Amino acid sequence: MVAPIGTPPEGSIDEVLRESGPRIFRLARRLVGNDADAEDVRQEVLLQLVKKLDTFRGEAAFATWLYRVTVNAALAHLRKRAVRDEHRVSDPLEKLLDNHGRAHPVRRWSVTAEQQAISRETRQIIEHAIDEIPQGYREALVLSDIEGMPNAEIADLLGFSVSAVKNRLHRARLMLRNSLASHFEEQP
Amino acid sequence: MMTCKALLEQLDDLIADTLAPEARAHADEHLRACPPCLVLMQTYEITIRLTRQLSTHDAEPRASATP
Repeated sequence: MVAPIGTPPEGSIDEVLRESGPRIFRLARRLVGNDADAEDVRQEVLLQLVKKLDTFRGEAAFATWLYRVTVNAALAHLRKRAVRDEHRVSDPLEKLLDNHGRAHPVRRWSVTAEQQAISRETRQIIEHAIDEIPQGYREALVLSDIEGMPNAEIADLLGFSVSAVKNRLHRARLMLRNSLASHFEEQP
Repeated sequence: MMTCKALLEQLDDLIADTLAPEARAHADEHLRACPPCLVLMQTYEITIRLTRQLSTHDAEPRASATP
């Protein structure tokens, strides 16, 4: 349980804002992971605070409200960021095709599908490449190919349709393939 | 003949062998005529198999985990 971050709404509104601002920022920073987004969340929560300040009765109600509003604002910000990032994700299929929709020439890999066990170095290369896959796609790949979860279960867990999960999984695998190609392609 | 894009969109079904017979025949025809798509399918399958091995590695006991 995280301790409430609020203060009683005593004194002028300027004093309340001055005191609450850093606390909101600290909590938001932990949740969103960077200063710029945490500042956006702080501004948003302070705006709500100004609108509702005169409706509070007592310290506990204010502290609880401020904590909840900050958490909700941070989570909403994370969701918006995920959508924004997703729009920036380029289709990995496009990298493989020329302007006429034909596949570019590609080289075979020095590793095979029949290889029994992967080396520590290969594992590190794959894990690093997975880290680079955008969040919404990485989740599908990890749950399916590492955790062995069926697509229907992944769909339930992430709140997508099964076909959306299949699409994300396919894109994630292509992203990973494209990323691994530079490590595993045979030399000319 | 099937396009490269259409072929690549069906990689999961191709590897899982879940395509309908007619679609499978079209895909095989494309793969015989298109070396890049054949290599892409092979490397896509390698990618999946390599990734699946990560869970095995995670399950292995770590020598330094306990004193």
